[in-house]
Amino acid sequence: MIIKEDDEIIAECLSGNTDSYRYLVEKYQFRIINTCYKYTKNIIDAEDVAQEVFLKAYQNLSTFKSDSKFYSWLYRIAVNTSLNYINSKEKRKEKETISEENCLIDMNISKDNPRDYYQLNELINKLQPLMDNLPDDLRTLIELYEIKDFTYDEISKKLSIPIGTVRSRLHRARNMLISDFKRKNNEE
Amino acid sequence: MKNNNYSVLGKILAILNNDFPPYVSKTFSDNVMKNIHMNTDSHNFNYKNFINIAASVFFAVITAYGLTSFQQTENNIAAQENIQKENDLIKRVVDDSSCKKLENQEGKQNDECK
Repeated sequence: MIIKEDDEIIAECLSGNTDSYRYLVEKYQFRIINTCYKYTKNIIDAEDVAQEVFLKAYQNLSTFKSDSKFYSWLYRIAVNTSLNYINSKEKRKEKETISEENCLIDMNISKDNPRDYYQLNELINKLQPLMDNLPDDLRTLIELYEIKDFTYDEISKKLSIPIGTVRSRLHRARNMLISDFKRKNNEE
Repeated sequence: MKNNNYSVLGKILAILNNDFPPYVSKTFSDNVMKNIHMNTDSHNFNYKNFINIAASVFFAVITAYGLTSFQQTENNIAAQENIQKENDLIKRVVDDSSCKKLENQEGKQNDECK
């Protein structure tokens, strides 16, 4: 199973392989949509703003500096785009009307088309056992890198292991989680 | 180019960070990629258009220059032919006076001057 690092995918995109960008979209779509959702307060608008976020990020990919994490950069774009969206909405003075309309749309989505949407809250209970099954060193790496937002360099210093080892162990931990998760949810 | 490992990893990261919305459309990434391709294509289209227009202007200028210089060459040749004719006439006049001299001196008409 090949899961490329963000910087590898970005390099591919910059060399003209636009389709590689899909990997970044699929990896971060849930968190970015949720960031936008916190500002827009309805899921339809959140998806629209998130689309704009990914488009802006793609157009400015060459300005991304690889010394920071791609997600942190994307998160900043998401916050700014959401704020711009709210401001423009306020300027149009349609805020209350639109919110009411979209709340109704949200209710329709939940009732009518559950198969067209991912609902991650159903999966929360399935993930914790998978994390518990990981070897201690791999679980620690996942927690440091993916939850506490440490960089490779910081993890390397904290755990006194080379950066290469951090990368390879993280890669192994991700692969284990993905294959166990797929097995448990019967995803192909 | 679909690889659902990234989507699964995305779900795992979102759940680990407790950072996920109530619903996410399954076609979200398709829509984003469609949008990006549309933008890239329109950018390429504009670029191609620019190249086409630049090439057309270039060839138009080259053709116009070619036609102008061809016409000028034609004019030069025609002018040169006229000058040549005029020179021949002048020569004949000069030669004719020398014949008259000979006629006066010898009383004979030179065959060449007839």
